[in-house]
Amino acid sequence: MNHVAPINKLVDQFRRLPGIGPKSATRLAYFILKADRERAEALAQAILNAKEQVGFCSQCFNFTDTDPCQICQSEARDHSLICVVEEPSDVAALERTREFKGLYHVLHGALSPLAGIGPDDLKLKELLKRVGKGGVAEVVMATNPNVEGEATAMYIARLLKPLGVKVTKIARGLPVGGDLEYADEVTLSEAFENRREM
Amino acid sequence: MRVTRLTLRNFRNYHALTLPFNHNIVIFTGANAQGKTNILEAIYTGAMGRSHRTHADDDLIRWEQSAALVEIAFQRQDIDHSLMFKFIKDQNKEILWNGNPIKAREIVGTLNVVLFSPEDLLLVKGAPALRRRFLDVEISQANPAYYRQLSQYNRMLQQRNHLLKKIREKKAGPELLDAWDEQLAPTAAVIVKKRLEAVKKFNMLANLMHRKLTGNKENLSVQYVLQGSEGKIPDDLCLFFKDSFSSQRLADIARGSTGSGPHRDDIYLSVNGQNLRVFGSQGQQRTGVLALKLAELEFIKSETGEYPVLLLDDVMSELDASRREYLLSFIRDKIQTFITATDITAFPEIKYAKFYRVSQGNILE
Repeated sequence: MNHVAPINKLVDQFRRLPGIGPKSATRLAYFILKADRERAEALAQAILNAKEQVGFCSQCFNFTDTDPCQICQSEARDHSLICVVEEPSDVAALERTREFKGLYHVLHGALSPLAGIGPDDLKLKELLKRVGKGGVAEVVMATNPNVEGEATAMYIARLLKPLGVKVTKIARGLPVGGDLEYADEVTLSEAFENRREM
Repeated sequence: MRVTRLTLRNFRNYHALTLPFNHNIVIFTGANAQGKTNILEAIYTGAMGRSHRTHADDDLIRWEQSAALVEIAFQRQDIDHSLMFKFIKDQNKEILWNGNPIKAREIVGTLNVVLFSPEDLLLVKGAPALRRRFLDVEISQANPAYYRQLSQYNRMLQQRNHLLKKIREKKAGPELLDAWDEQLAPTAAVIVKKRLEAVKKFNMLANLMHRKLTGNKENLSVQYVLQGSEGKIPDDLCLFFKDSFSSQRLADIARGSTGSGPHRDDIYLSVNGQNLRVFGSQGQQRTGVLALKLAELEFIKSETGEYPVLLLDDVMSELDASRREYLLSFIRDKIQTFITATDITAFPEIKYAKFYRVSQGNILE
């Protein structure tokens, strides 16, 4: 630990960021100290601006600086198709594919009794309201392929089906560009289960 | 499967230790609390990714040190491999397999070991959890996918049990259970299916061993007991679990835990048609345990093509002379075995073994 209090404070702040250990935190702090004043100000300002200007879209609950967000406003997108994801970062990942042309709905979590997360802690009522308004033909579940994500998808599917909307789930299987022999057994057996006729 | 070298740094009571193993049978002798079992623990940790004695990796680090290291060089199908574990205080352990980082859950099945410790003597007499664990460890080593499915099942079960308690306290609605049961039932079915296959094979192997141990006088039978099935295994296990989860829902909520599923099943052991747990003599039960452990070695060999490494922790003194002799003749040339014992006289004239004396974290030839 450094004996200069402001440095310690800065290191401590960096350490609280995800994926940052004590060494990285110290490195970042010293980088900032060595950089010129403008650079430090730009960083501080960017953080504040993002915090002030970005909020949640009132429709899909993704991060946005306009309401509704760019995606929800877009005429070019298919408004009858909604993809349900757990986190805003999942939207960013799906958007990178440029494959999906519908809208999103961000739940902000997944069901987990252990973590104390129930249906009321997710943006679920909002999703039901959105679908209930009509005009939605299909809801695609793209929650994480783990125990909690699956449970969330199943729970939502049960709620949506009575509304007469088609509910689908993205497929699980082998990563593209990977080797079959390195895939783990669970993924492989899942890929087998979801095989397609050619 | 052979361990060719073991290196320890600040592991348990060892400061620094490197032992090459050229013998098939390696025996560590010494008084209690000198560090004999720590060596077997290091090898076991290498095989299963965690110790059999503690869940806290920090316990493995030597007193007042911040990190420990275990390196195991071994041969699988005559090819050299190495596993290295770095245990760092308050951090997740790092594991390198042949120099490449891998996750703890990927370890199971790389180095196969069978541990035989005094707790195993309760395998026949003790609680069902011991027998389930025995079965799970054995299948996992032969089939790493089973291990992952089992951990998934346990995770779902944990979530479901937590939810049951919340429903009991009226903090959640019972309709939430559907989302968990829909996953739990197929996973339970996969686990039980694999256990049934294993037990079927195991039944044959264990009986073979038991007959040899008793001079063909006794037959040992191993049966899987599926809770709630009334002795008949249903064809559609998934449907069976779906039904039992939903029909027992109210009882589950009242209890705050899940009353049926693979985590409640058991293995039924009988000798000549008599329940071994209830009617077996102490001697019969010991023979049964030994037959089960020997069958475990054969089971892993038949599934992986190679015998695992055997760790005998302080059990030699628990077996009588004839069982001990049978065990030694069984392992002698084919299974690499690490043995700990307080008393060297338990091994009369084993010339083919390597002996080490263990004293306060030091190994003497």
